[in-house]
Amino acid sequence: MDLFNLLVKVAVFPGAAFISTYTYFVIWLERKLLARVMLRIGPLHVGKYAGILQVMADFIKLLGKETIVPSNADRALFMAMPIIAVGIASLPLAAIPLDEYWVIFRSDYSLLYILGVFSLYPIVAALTGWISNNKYSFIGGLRAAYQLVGYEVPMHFSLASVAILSSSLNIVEIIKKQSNVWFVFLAPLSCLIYFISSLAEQERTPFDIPEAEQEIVLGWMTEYTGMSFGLFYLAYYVRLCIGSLLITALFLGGWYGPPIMPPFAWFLVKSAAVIVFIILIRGAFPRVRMDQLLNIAWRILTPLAIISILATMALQAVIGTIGW
Amino acid sequence: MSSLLRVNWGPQHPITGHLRFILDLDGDIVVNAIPEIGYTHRGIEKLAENRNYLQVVPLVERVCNIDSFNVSLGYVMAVEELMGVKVPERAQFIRTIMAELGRIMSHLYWFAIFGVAAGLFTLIMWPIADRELFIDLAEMVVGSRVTYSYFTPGGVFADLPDEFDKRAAKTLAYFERRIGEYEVIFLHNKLYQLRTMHVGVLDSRKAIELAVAGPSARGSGIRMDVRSDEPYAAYDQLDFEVPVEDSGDACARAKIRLREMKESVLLVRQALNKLPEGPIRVRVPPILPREDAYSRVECGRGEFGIHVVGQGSDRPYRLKISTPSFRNMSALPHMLKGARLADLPIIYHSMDIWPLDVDR
Amino acid sequence: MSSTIEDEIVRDVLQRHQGLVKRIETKRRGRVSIEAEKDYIVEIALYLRDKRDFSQVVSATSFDAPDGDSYAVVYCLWSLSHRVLLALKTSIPKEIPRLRSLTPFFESANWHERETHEMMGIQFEGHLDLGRLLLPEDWTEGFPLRKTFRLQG
Repeated sequence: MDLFNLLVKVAVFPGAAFISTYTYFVIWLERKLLARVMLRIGPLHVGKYAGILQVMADFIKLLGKETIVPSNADRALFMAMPIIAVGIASLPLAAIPLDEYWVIFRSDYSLLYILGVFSLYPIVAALTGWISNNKYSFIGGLRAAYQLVGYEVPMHFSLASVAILSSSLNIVEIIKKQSNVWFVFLAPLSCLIYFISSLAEQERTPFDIPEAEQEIVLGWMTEYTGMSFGLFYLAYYVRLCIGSLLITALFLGGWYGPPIMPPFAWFLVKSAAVIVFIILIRGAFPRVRMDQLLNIAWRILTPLAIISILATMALQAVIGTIGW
Repeated sequence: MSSLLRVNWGPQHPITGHLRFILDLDGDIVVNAIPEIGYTHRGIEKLAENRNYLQVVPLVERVCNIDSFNVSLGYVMAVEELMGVKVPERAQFIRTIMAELGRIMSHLYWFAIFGVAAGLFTLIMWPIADRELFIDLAEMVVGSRVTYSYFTPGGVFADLPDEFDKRAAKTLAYFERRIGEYEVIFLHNKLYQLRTMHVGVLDSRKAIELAVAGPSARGSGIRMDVRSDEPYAAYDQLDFEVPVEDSGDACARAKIRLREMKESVLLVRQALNKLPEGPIRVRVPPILPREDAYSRVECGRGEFGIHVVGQGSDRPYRLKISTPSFRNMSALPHMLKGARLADLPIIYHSMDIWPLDVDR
Repeated sequence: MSSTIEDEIVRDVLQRHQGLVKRIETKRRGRVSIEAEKDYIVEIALYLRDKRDFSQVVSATSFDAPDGDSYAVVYCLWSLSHRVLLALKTSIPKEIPRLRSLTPFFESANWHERETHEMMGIQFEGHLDLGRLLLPEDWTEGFPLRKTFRLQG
């Protein structure tokens, strides 16, 4: 029975089927919402309601495209990278609980697991840029690696506040501790820093320099066509979804909400709100230059994150004395 | 001494348009930038020698098809100077109105491309949508949307239709509010300022030496505008300001163009109010005398100089067009030295260089 | 009657370079036209730059002179403070189409001279980089703006 439960969770909810559907809807939402910001309409005709099947149509189209491998590139690794990217992008999902019951991997150190697995992604970016055997991809891969590694520092620091407030590294416990007050109200600075770092980790505008097509075509993904490109695209959106699920779990009270909806529905609603906010940011801001990006990470966010840890420690001491 | 990376940009590149840059990069810094132009050279000056001087009007318009009102105005003024023809007042005012509408259209197009340079796609959609309103105004008067052949030696082709007043007033009122929104959303956007301030600084001495023209020069503190230096059409009877900024960076140039759009709105309103009655055209002789004339107009991009040499026939003996983009382009290698690769699109587009202008 | 700035400039140049100037006139406000021998162009241009603030070359044209055996070259200089456009005209013989370049003294003349060289085949002596500008690198069909170059059709 246990094995069967695990398989159901991995395959359906919150595993493969769920994340695929969720990502599908997020891609569609981005295209429609961003279009509205830009005074456009977005997909309209494919599918009965507002172009809902457009994403499916594009996916099928990509399947039909020729996959070109550059002549000097390592063929096996080149073809494997997109699959590895999607795999690594989806790994954090194992530890994210959508409900007290619906979680694949329970552990007292699940937060550490997520942080560790999150940090694997820069390797994917840098390696892809290198094996493409292309000047532009190479530059893009290096830039991506610098950015992703740079922003991990403030991200990890800001998550220390969460650990302090909940006295635990188990994500289920972290969420349970937010049953009265969400952590965003107890550690607002940490939440802000985490949100900005998360945007940078997901390579979203205004931090999407690695795929700045204005200068170096498509950055580290330049050489990928057809379904390989489709898989990288998928990995990008999977990271967006998982990033939003994480921030909901860690700061926005997870599955807690008025009992008009089942808990996991609240989880999804909150993370959808975060995604809408992220999409609107894309519509409003230009992208930041590489050196400015690293400046922000190292000179602004990291010191602020350290300050936020101290502030949270102080707060936790006060709360501990009062007896929350 | 680290080795330099030679990168080729264009002519098929998402951001340069039909131009090519050969860049020598040291890491992220441009050490040398060599522009290669001529991809859209159509030989307009040579073609003009084979055409009747009236047929040259549509030809000259295609030099800068985004702002074709101002360019054809320059040519037409040169021909009128050659022949010693005086254009009636009503036609001068109509010319001013359409020239200012052309300027707004040109600046809106520039604004769209400039937004993309920094990576904000919203900023290509909004100005292009607003530009449609002005294209509709032009279509109301002339019948075509982008290249018009509306100005003719001696005046204009047709009078303004009756509904033009009301329609123009509505469009201008809407647009004035819109420019305010653009300023708040884009110019006061902190990230935008981060990308455009202190980027691509052109000091005024260098700008004068390199003969930079138009808003690109006014951004470096040089107060030059043909409309106030050498008023033509009806500009001597209208009040307007010439915006000048001192910092010489990309942000200054962007600010100037936004303010110029505001000034254009005021100019069109004034001109519509003061529009006199009268004929819109006078007859012109069929041949160009054996003389030459040089006329200057302030196009959206800067100063156009049109030099026409006549030979006693109906064809120009020589037509020389000195375009602002050509002048600004020759200043660009100097500005790009020492800039970061990511700033290249911003610097290039802040100078408002139009490849068709450069090449003719 | 007060003299205009154009009259002053004309007087100035005539005073200094009486023998070098073939013809000088002011056709309208803001335009002065000077015609001189080709060897004196640089001298006159430098005088205008230093004494009368004609700091920019905004245009450089060339065409077959109507008389048939020379090329006319016209430089247009602009003065920012006086707001006068000065056309500096000269003619060079067709057999030896050479002229001293203004580029070492006026940086703005660079690309204009390059284009004139490419289109009319005039050698500008002292210009360091008369490479191709508008025409393709492998263009061998002559000089397009000369009257001898016929357009097809």
